[in-house]
Amino acid sequence: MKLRLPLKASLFPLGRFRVEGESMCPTLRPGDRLLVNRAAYLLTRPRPGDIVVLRDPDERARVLVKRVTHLPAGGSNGGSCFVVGDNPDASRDSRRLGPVPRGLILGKVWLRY
Amino acid sequence: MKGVLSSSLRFLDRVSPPATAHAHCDIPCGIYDPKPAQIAADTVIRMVQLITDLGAPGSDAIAAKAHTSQVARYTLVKEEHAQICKKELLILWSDYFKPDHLSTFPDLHDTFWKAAKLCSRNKQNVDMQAAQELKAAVDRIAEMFWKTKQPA
Repeated sequence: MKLRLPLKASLFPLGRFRVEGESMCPTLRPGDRLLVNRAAYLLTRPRPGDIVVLRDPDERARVLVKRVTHLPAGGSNGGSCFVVGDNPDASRDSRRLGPVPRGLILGKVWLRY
Repeated sequence: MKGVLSSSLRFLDRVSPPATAHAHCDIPCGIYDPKPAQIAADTVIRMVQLITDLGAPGSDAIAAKAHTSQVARYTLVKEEHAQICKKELLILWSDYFKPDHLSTFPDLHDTFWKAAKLCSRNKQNVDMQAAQELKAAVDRIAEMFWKTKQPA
């Protein structure tokens, strides 16, 4: 039996990630390990404040970690959400990524280990 | 419990490394450089020099007009670059330098404040001394900047 899945890892709902970069400082620091729940948004929508891992809209092979700021008003059609880094020092230069299609969100950060 | 979970996950990480989640800025950030301020300060010096070298206006009307126009153009560039210099300095001051840099450079705020004031003075006047002082102040800031880039 052959299963065709977009991501073989999505068979298992938990994923491990290592943070690189400082845009989520001081919440997450470079080198922090994250346990991510890939199944978190199967039934519920991302909520403002959630920290999520997502595919970079400009470079799908790259995975980013960001915080959900808000969902666009009336975004009931599968929708999208706005994400941004936590580091205020980077804010002068950082363009908001959003809105990011929901399909690019890989999961919710559950805990740091 | 947290300890057991954490060490199990860390063990897993050693067996198979975790994926990377990039927390980089959305556009390259942290690109700060004192060079634009230094170029602007050099431009101010050059414009002061050019205005000074221009000498007296010619006697006939056409030459006088040409002279006025030339002074106006040099002055415009001088003011623009004094303003660019100020803007670039403020970016370094407010965005690049962090509170902990103050322990290395206790005179950081004073240096920036005086340099910013020198930008204004160079807008108002055609004064080679003020222009040289501005360059010295910006060079001093550049020196501080590059010192922060050296490994501790």
